[in-house]
Amino acid sequence: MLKNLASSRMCLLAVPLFALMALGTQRHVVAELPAEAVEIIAMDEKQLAAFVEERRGKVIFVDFWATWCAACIEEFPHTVELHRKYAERGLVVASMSLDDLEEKEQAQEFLNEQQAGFANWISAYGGGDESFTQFEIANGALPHYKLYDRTGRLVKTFNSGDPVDKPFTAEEVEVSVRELLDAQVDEDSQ
Amino acid sequence: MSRVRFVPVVLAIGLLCPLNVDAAKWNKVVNIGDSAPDWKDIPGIDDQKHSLSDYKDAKLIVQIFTCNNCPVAVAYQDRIKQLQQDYQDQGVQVVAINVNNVEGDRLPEMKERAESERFNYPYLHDASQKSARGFGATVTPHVFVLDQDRKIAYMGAVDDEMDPDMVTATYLRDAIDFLLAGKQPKIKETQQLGCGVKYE
Repeated sequence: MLKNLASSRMCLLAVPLFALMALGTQRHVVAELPAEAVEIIAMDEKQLAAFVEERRGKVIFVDFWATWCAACIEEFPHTVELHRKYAERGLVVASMSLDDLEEKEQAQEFLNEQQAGFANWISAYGGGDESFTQFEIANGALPHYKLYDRTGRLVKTFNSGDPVDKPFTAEEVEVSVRELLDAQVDEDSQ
Repeated sequence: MSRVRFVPVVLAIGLLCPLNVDAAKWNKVVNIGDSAPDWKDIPGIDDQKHSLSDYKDAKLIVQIFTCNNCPVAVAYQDRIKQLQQDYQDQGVQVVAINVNNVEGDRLPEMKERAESERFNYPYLHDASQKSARGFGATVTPHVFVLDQDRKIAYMGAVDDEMDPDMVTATYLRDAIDFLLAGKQPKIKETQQLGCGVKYE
């Protein structure tokens, strides 16, 4: 039996392990982290379209935000809440940061704090105007949300800074999400 | 339908539904070439009321919808000051308008910001938000250049990057240079980006 060898190796491992755990608990005192820490992936609009297409049958909600957008930071907990409440019913939530790629660490930190346990992306085009154009962010204003129905069709966008339309509320967003989750889907359109 | 009645019907449809070839790409309220919507009696940090007509002697007006608290707007403060300074002697007048009605974005805080940052242009607060709606402003900062006839000659972004060290395209300055030379800007409209104007 390798018992003796194994146990001595275990002791050797235990010391650094306990040290790491001690350090770990010092840092992460506040909230429980998700099992996997957030990893942001660079995405372009074609990859977003493919992501949506691959998930026909699900309702998809994409939150476009940036670390410089105070309103986005303030509203983000609502997005996390949508994920918590409706993932089981078929809602797929994703976040897309329009920060410069250099700000990826900062964005990741925020998403970790928010416990954003869903797909998290950063625009492949960086923080300039091209991102806003390629992702068709109406008004060039954040926050911006896109909502896709179970057939993969973009059915609604929630636009900030609109000089004509009434500003949207978190309640209205949730109502729209629920409507799409509850909607009957024709077999033909799948 | 008889041929006699067909033509007027087609004409009527044509008049009612003109082909909007020059429709703005990123503005749902105004187009390039439109006369600037007028605005009057907006209070400024100087405690005076300001109207668009006050600036009738300016060759070009650079109207910027901006605010105190949006990091993007703040990132552009120095660039706007520099622009006003550089084009001061060529008859270019920057006018900044803030239509956000939230804490930190009202006249007292605007006065503080203008003083500490030494703004060299009028900074006005339009609580009615009418000026911004009239221009179809969507974010801070959102820029509109008005030519000598007060037609909208350029609108959108100041340049292509929030970080001043990463700018590659100086849209606003280029547009101003073209106009001062008596020409139309090569790029008349760009995608504005920033924090959404806090419309109520």
